[in-house]
Amino acid sequence: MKLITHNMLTSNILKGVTRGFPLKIKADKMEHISVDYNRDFIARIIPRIEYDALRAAVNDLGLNESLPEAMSETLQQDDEFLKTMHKVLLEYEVEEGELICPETGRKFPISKGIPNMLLQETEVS
Amino acid sequence: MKLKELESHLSHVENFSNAKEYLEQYMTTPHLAARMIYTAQTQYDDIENHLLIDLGIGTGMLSIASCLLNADHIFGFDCDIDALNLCQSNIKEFELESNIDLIQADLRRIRLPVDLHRIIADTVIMNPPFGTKPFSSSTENQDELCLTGIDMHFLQYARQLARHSIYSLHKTSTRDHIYKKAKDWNMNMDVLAVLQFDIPKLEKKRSNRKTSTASNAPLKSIEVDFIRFEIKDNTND
Repeated sequence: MKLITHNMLTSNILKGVTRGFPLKIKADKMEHISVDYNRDFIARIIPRIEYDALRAAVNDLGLNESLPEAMSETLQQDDEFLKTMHKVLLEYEVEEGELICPETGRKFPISKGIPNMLLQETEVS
Repeated sequence: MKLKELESHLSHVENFSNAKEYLEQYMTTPHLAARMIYTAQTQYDDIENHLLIDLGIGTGMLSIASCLLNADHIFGFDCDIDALNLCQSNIKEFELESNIDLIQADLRRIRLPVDLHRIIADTVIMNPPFGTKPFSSSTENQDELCLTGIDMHFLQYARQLARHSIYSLHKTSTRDHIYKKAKDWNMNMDVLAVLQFDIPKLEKKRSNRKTSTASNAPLKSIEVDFIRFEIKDNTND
């Protein structure tokens, strides 16, 4: 699971959960994979990213990447920033671990890089 | 890339070895997938440089076709881990790991685990299950998962997730019903093609269930519409 994927997922499918975002991440096995930089793609995707959630994820994973606290208009044109966003969104793969609902603590396993968001009948909202 | 070239590449997508009948699993053929995605791009510009969602990604055929035609990035959802493992293997084969991300989620009973207020895909692509009735109504264990009308369920999700358009397949016999729904959901609907579809006709008798798999079942031919839906009420362009 890449951080671009994590940025899209919520646990609001659970009963009793209001927002369920962002999910906390616990990584047991993580890989860094080089991906060709595509500036246009990153520039296109940034408006869809929940920036605070991305910073929280970077923090959860203990990544040594510096993302500024806020994302200004000028920053979105800055090449260095775009390259960091590319790296953070696409190059870190959580292979094994868990996503954790911020409201209920319910864990969603990640295995072979695929988050499992299946629920029991009793958990469905 | 030309259509024939695309179809040729897609012939390397591996099919299910043990397709699950109760999930109506079968591979979208390279022939059909190539035409669907090629049309979506050349006629409507809905693939290249766009963010896509594939509902019921299965073998990954439609998503791989889309990446070959330069989609930016794709999120694929499926409930079945065996399908997802096969899909992952196909993605690796095509070296598209950086472009396609997989999520295991049940689209039949539960909403998608995404924030629907933050519409995330430009285009949704899908070959949804059509919904065949359970083979034996007396089975307690039968997980009545693919009920008739499940494709409308998928379409409803697609409607919530897509910013611009949806490409899907539905039985021709349900066309009028779908027109009504499209209108209710504020979408334009265009039937781009009518196809003869061969889906495995699975054994109705319980006793044959163990030996019958989608890969050795006789084929049943049905008429299917390839449809493009366009979202009307989006003012965020």
